[in-house]
Amino acid sequence: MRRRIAVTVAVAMSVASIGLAAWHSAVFAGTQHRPAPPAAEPSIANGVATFQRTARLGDVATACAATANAESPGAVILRRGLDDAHVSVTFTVPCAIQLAGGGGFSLRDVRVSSKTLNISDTAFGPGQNSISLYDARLTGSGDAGLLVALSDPADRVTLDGGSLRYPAGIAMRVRGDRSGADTGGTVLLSHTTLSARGPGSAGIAVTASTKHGIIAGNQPKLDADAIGFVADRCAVTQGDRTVDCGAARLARDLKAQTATP
Amino acid sequence: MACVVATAAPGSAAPATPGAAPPAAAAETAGGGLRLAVNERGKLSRSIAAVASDGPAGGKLTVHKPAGATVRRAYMAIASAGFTGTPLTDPVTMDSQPVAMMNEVASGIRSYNYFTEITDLVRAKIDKAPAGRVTFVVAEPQPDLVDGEIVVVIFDDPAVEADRTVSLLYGALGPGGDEYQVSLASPIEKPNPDTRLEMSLGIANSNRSGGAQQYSTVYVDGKRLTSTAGGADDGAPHNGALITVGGDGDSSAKSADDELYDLTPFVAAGDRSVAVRTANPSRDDNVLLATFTMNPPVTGVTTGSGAGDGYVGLGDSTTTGFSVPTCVQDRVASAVGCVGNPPVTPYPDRIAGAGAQYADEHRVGIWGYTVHEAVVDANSGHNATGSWTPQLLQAEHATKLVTVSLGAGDMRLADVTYWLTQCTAAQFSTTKPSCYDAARKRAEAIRPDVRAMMTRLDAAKRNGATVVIVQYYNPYNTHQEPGPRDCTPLWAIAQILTGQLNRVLGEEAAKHGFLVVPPPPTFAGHGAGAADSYVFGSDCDVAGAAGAATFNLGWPPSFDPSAGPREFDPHLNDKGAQAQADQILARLHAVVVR
Repeated sequence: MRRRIAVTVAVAMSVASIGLAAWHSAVFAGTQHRPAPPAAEPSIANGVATFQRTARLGDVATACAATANAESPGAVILRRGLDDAHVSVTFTVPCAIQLAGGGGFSLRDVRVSSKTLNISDTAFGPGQNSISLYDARLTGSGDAGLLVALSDPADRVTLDGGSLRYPAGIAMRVRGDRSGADTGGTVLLSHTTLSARGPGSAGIAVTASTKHGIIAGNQPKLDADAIGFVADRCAVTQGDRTVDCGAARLARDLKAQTATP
Repeated sequence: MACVVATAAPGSAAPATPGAAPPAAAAETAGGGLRLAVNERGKLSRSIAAVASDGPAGGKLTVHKPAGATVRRAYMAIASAGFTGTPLTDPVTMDSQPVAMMNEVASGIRSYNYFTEITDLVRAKIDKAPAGRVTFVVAEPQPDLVDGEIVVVIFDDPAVEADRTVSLLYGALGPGGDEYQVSLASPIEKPNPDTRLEMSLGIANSNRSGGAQQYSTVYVDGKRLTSTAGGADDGAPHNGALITVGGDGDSSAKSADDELYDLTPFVAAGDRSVAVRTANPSRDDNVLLATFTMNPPVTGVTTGSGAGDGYVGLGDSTTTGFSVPTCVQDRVASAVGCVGNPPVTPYPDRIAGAGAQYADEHRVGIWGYTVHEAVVDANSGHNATGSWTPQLLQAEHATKLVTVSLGAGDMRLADVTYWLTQCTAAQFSTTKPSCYDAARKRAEAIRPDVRAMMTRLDAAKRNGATVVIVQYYNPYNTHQEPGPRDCTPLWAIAQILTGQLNRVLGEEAAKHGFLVVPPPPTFAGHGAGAADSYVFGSDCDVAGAAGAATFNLGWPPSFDPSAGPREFDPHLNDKGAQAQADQILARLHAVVVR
């Protein structure tokens, strides 16, 4: 218990110093009315760390560690998204990150080592969320999986270059289903490697709405025994071949197989 | 130990053989089994004694007090005489003080049991007395209506060095039997001198004199402990005095069968639970009390759901009544693999409740259980997790009916993410099998286990039981409902999977002459995604399957797997469980009529 408290305090002081630095600059820039010092980032309550301002990746990883315990993974809420580049960060605990509708989740030229990682938006109210990974290399440890789940119609996931390697599986669900009706979702992949090879792996599953969703893949490298892409409009180009992974095509194929004795 | 004054004649309505059912007695379904009533922990010892008091002077009941011990708690269990059908109204007295007639329970042999704390009645006398015998006079105002009294005194005992528990299970054994799992605080260490695994049974209305064959059986971890429990060791061989309990002065040697048992030879070192099954094949005994004196201490006792062996319901999660969010998985603590209360009555219980024919039910389904596990556990004689009797060994005792719902777990039927990717991988590689081929391959892979299972089930058929192989339903809706969801791909995937599984189950069942029951036709249009669903799940769109991955931590995040996505939950809700039961009963009826 003593150790847990010490970690929490250390995180609080660390993030507080980030906020104070910004406040310090503002004060000495000659503003006439001294602003109130910003609250420490993140605030931690009930085992959940909340960032009110755009977060940095390393701070999120630290917040995950500060909120995890033997019974529950780390829990982080990003109210103004995340933006980072050219960093290398390790998540030492499984962690669930919730996007609360503002800002994006953007990483450029980063390296991430992690346990199981969930990035989703389902716990909060509607709002457009976008996840953009440019030349980002995310690697999971032995039993780790990666889940991305967005639920608003204009949500978008963009993967450009880089790689996602999670032995337990990679699952992306962007179907615009917050209201109960599937209304959209877009996933774009370009020259990204997705790898899900591990014992009992769930493989690679990427879905958008079967009524209004879009998945477009341009030369992704897919490395898994089991691979599933489904959306209303779904096409993945590999080499000179384009796979039609549209829901209507899938339904036709599967229905035909049900008739096989 | 008891002193009995026993000369009174039995009542006029009593059967000719003491303890036996009168010729006109109908089978009773009362007797809901024993339940944990007391669980005291500490440096404890116990004294257990019984008495039957027929005359006006009463009988002498003797408690044995250890040196330096003081009374912590004391209890009395009282049994009215069997087949009298008369609740007791006048209180039994102990040293002329009335004992409140509490916790009345009707037994399955038209008698009534009572259980009362008597600490205040006995503490002063025992605590003041020197170590050794302390005698009380117990008197019955209606001796012909009372078989006897059992007293358990729990002592704080300075001679005991390690924590023990004294656990009392009270109630009324169903005529068909009862089962309970005793969970322990730590693994059993057989060489440890503090280890004590003792069970005492209190039985009334049992008689083994004069050639009478009234007896109860006890199985521990699937192994027979005794088939001769009972008699009137602490009373006399006539109605109104048929009482026995394992206690002071009795031997735990198996040959003696004094209803006092050392469980140590029947359990495995390292076990953290002990499964005990009691039954009364002669259907005329009244098992009302079980006392466990245990080190490692008892942390809980889970009572099995079923009481009989006429109908044994085997199966997986579809036979438990639980849904994904309500099942807190724990096969050690719970016989069905889930701690908590199921939201619906599972279909085997509905079959049992449909009439007297299959009321003698013993449901042994376990959440997440597979055919492979069933075969391995039966071969090893014990469950790999939890010490309940393996399902297939239980089925070998069935005399009327066995229903089997196993195979979905082997097929990973509920793992929609896995099957989505398996069934679409062929799009990306010419070397990947089609969904049909992948499902067929998996179904064929489980065929050896299905064969082994059905060979085991032949034993039930030889007993005269009808063996029903229940084929699996497609849990997803058949076609698009009005609205945005398209059920077709996921329905088709499940149709391919269940088709292959049901084919293997049906082919193997036919070789054994078992009754194959296909999914209820009424399920069509009532899968997940339908407005009127027969399962707990609500989603049927394959686009949602990606979110059902096992590494979905949920929000707030949790490591508990039951906290995961529930939209695709394939388990039967109330309507589904009833439809399943109706389908099986209809098929059974059709066979009988034919």
